[in-house]
Amino acid sequence: MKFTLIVILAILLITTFLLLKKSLHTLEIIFLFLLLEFLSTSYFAFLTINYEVWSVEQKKNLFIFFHLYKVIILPLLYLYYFHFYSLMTTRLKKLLLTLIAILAFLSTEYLLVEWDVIIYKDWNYWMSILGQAILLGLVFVLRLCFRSIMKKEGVVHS
Amino acid sequence: MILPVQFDKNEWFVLIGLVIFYTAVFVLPKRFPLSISILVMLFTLTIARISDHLLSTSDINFYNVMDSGKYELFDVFVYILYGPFGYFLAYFYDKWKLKGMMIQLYVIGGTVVSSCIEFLAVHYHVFDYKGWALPYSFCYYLVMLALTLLFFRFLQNTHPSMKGTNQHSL
Repeated sequence: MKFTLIVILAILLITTFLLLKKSLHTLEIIFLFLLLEFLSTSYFAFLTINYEVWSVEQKKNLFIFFHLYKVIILPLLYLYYFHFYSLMTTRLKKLLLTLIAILAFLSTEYLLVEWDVIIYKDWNYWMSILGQAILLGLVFVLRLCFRSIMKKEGVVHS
Repeated sequence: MILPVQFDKNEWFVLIGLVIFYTAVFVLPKRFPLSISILVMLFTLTIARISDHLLSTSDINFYNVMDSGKYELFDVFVYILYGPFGYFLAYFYDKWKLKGMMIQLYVIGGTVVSSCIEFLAVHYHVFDYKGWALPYSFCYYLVMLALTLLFFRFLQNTHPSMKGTNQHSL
């Protein structure tokens, strides 16, 4: 049941994003998605393989669940964040959105813990908040660099 | 990041490869806008990263990259090394304006070259096979190179300064 729910969530996230009227340029979306895939898989490799502060359940469906989370769900949640971020007009709204986004990322992680997909070892939610904030900051800076290149090439104007 | 257990031939292979391939990228006359070059290279290295992440974990371990099954600093360099392959593939595809069956031959040729480089990488212990074999990589490259060209064609049709430059049939 849990596995079916997460597959439905992944499908809904993909289809909704495809149907959404985009506020970002297609090239920017591709850049963000590829970058997020690389960084997300690297981030989870640090946690599960290098430092072993997360252990992942080995049951096949839960294991696939975890892969769906890191390869599809989390990168897409970040994409949604950048989509809505570019629609926000004031700094306060952008800040609020960022806080909501980190909360959303954390909620999905909470589900993973509650459903025993991952088990924390010497790890807690504060560390996850820090990790997600660093990841978000890094993607944000790299997105700005790529956007400035697109501006110079006349792909985007603002 | 985990540093190399011992700085030996696999690290040298990666470093020399990086210098040679990135020098070639900068020396070749520019053909596409910078954003397209970045996206093609990012696509190649991300696909490599995801593939390794799925095929070379502690649970399904067909091979190790560099000295151990852990995610090392030089693993990142290996992925960065993948970037120019996608760039060269798109570069010569665009330069030679390939059409029809020539594209098929080009993909097969690219697959042979990629497999030869992987053979060298295995020889220098960049990859340590555990149940994996070079013929599997050949099949993998055949699909991935075609996908990279499709991705490049999509970018050509998306970037305003490249629209209309795509006269190929794939």
